[in-house]
Amino acid sequence: MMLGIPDAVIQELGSELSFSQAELDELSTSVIEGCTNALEHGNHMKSETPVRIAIDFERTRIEVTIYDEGPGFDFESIDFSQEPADLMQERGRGIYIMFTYCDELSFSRNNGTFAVKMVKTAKESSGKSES
Amino acid sequence: MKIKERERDGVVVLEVSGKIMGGPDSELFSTTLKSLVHEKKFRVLVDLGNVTWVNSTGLGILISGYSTMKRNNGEMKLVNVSDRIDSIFMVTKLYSVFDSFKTEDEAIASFAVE
Repeated sequence: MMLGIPDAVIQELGSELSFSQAELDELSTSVIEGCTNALEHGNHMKSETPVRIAIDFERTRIEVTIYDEGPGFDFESIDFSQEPADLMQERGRGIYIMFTYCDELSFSRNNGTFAVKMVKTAKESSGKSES
Repeated sequence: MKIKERERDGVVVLEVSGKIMGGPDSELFSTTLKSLVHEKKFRVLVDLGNVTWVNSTGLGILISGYSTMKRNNGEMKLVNVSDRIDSIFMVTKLYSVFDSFKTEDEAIASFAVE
C-alpha cells in the first residue's frame, strides 16, 4: 500500500500554508485512514481499481476527498464520535480517528463511487504570511 | 516496517522503523513476538523512535502484540513515542493499555521493579 504518498503530499503542501505540524499530522493521519478504508473495504485491495484523492486548499483550510469504487457503508446509522467500546479491539478505530482529528467529516455515495470528505482548518498560526 | 532486536538487562528491545500499517507488518510483528515467547523472553520494550507513522491497522498490530505477551504472563511496553504517534495514542485512549516511557533507561528500570 503506497500510503506514504498522500502523507508526503499533505506534509509538503501544508508546510507552505499556515498549519502547525500537529495539525498537518492530524490531517495526514486522517487521509491515511481514509485511504486505508478505501483500499481495504472499498476496493478490496484490487490493484486494477483506483482510489482517487482530490485536494483543495487555501492558506488556512485543506479539504481532501477520497474516492473508491466500493459500495461504502451505512454511514447514516453510525455515530462517528463513538470510540471502540473495547480498548483491546484490534480494528474499528479509523472513522473515530478521522472524526476526532478533522473539523469536518462527511461521506457520500454517487453513481457507484463512494467518497469521504475531510476538512482541516488551521487554528494556530505557523508564523507564515502571505507573500 | 523493519524490526531490529537486541537485549538489555533481561529486556528485549525491538527497534521498529518505518511505518506500521498492516499487510506484512502484522505477520512480521506477530512472528517476532511469538519467537520471543518460544524463547521464554517475556519482557519486551518496543522502541518507536524511528517509526514515521502508525495507522489504525498498525495500532491493531501493537494491541495484538501486547495481548500475545499478556497471555503468556509477559509485558510489552513502549519508548520513544514521537509527537505524531503520541497524539494517536491519546485520542484512542490506548495509554490506558500501554505503558510508555520517554527514555530507554526509564523503561528498562520499570521492568526491574515489578
